[in-house]
Amino acid sequence: MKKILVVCSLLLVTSTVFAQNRISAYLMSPFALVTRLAETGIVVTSAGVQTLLGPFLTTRATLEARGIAGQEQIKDELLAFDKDMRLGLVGDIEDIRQPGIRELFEEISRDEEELKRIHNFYPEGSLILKLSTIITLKLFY
Amino acid sequence: MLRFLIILIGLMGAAYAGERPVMRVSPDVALMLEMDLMMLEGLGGQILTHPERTTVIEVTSFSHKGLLNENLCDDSVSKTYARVKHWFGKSTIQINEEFIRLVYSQQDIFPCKHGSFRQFLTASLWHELGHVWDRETDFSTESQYAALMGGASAFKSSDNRAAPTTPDAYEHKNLRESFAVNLEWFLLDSTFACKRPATQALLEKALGFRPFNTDCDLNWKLLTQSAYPEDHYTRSFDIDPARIYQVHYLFAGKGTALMSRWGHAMLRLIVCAPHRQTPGPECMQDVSHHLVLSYRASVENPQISHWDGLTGKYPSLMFIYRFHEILQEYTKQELRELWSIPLPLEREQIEFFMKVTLERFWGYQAKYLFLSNNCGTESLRHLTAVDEKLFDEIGDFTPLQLFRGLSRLSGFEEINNRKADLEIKGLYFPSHRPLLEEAVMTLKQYGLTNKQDLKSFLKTKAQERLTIYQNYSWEELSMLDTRTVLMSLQYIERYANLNYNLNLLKNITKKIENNAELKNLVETEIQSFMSLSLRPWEIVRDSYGVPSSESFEQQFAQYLAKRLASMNQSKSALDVLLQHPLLKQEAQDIKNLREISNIITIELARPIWYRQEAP
Repeated sequence: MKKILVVCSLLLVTSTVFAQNRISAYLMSPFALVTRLAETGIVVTSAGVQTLLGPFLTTRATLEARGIAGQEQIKDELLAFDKDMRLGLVGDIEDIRQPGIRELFEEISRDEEELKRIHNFYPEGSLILKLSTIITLKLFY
Repeated sequence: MLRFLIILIGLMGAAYAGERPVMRVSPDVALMLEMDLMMLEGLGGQILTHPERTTVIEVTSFSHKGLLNENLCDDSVSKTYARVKHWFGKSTIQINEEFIRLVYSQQDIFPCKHGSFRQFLTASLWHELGHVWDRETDFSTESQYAALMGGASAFKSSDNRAAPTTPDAYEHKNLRESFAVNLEWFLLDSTFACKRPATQALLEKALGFRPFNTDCDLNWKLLTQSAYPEDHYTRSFDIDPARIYQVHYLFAGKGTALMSRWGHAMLRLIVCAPHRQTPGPECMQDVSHHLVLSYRASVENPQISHWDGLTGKYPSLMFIYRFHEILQEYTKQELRELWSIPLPLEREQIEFFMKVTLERFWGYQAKYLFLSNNCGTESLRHLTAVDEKLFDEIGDFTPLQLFRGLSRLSGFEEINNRKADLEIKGLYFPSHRPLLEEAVMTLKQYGLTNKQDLKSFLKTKAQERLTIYQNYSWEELSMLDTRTVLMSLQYIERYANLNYNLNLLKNITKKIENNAELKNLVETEIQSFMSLSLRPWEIVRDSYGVPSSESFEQQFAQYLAKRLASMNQSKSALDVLLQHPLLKQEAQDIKNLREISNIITIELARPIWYRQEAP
């Protein structure tokens, strides 16, 4: 019986290893979002990025609702999705071949208020680009 | 007046082939029993009060009794209230004379079973009449009922049955007693349809009547389980059939471990997202809402004992996971393929499937036997409980046989060669192995490893890899290349992390076994993880069966509040555990893995803005 406690403890470690990171500000300069961070004077840490992304309530809720395994699945899918993006295969949400990412993007884009918040924050670029940036940040910071 | 009623009901019963039982009892007892028969007929149960076999009711002295007030609610004490003997086309129901004496002398209400001796007499008579009917029909042993209850093998030993969820543990004796006990509650409990909805449906269909017309509010909610403590029993899901598009047979191809050579059989529910108005093909896209039923041995130790699996030491339980978790477990963690075969079920069958699922989730526990009661046999029994004819000719020995049989049945066999097409349709999920091998090649190409393949990459120490990453000239990479490399790196490092932890579990378990101090530390510091071995009915429970919506909402909320508090304590307890000298190396490994994660995260942020360098 007691052995399971250790099993679970370690799974907990696994799930949090990739979520507790600090970011060095100097590495962020090419990244538009982080430039905004610097402009607003927010300390560039994991918590800082989360604060910045704080207004995207639907995005946060939809990710959290997937649980740890669901988020891991999306992280895995990012590899192939990224390749498709670079090859110019993804113009719209319907073009996304990764089922977890496609469902997630569709879910977020159904919330018009959230879309407004995203567009206000990121005036330029396609919706896919904006969503993928926010999702990547949400998942890795 | 009473005589008139008896004659009237007797005439009503004339429509049935059989005759009323012959009473060979004293007049006052006969009157009581007649009232019970009338009551049963009032519920619509003429088929039971007019058995086709000649039936006699008598009161006799039994050699063993056990009928003491203090024993009433103790299922471990054997008690015989009544019994039935079948002999050459005739059945004799014998009632314990001590029982009759208690009916007359004890008016007390007791907090179990049917509440009073008088009520118990009614239930016992109906129970025995059920046996007489079952003797003629073999309903309990040859139909969907047997499959619903786990088959005859589930009754070989009662030590693995879910005793707390039963109204009467006597139902675990064998299939015939299971039927007779369920019949009692079907006839006496107006909420039985909500507590055991699948049993209710089968009894209604077989007996041809529904004792209570009141519609109770069936609670379609259940809890999902998870290997991740944060997600284990922390979310509820609604399996209302109105939200289910299809049921699939989900087959995991063979793995490398001995117990996975035949593959693994599961059942996938295509649950539609809440925004869908009606179930349809578009629900295939709602992958985060899909659920998987997986019959497994409940093993609470990473060191699986094959002998225990062969000899029935593990309980067999139906676990419910979210589909993503199953994808992670099989295609990534175990590098196996998954096939999802849509089953040809009509809407009515899907509804019944969900009733079986609910009933089993909240009360089913049998004995896992690797060769004869495994995931394949349990899954097929689940399907047979829904429709015995449809799945009649499917081989049930192994999950692979089930895969072949169900592929034929569903017409899936003809198309299963086109994996790419199936993948697009969400019916096939490849192993991660090719992508992981490709990721190793990418790292090699950019000088981040000198390993040729996944196997050799996984053998490297985290410290060794960390040093390479720390000394790497990231600034020399173009933005686009950085992104490419880091996507591969995060992917394979997360896999390496997972792989490391799975092996680590076994090592730490060994250390705990050999060190009393460490064992004690674990026991005292991480109590909250006890919840991972809890059964669903230990989280939410009514008197028996599926809990009502009210009980569910109230008890689940209470559980969650306690759970969240204990989870926070556990995180700090984990740090305490890792400070133990025996786990020094493990703590260092975990620290290195975190450092690797830091590097990836930091670097990943740089080129994340795709616009910077479009191809």
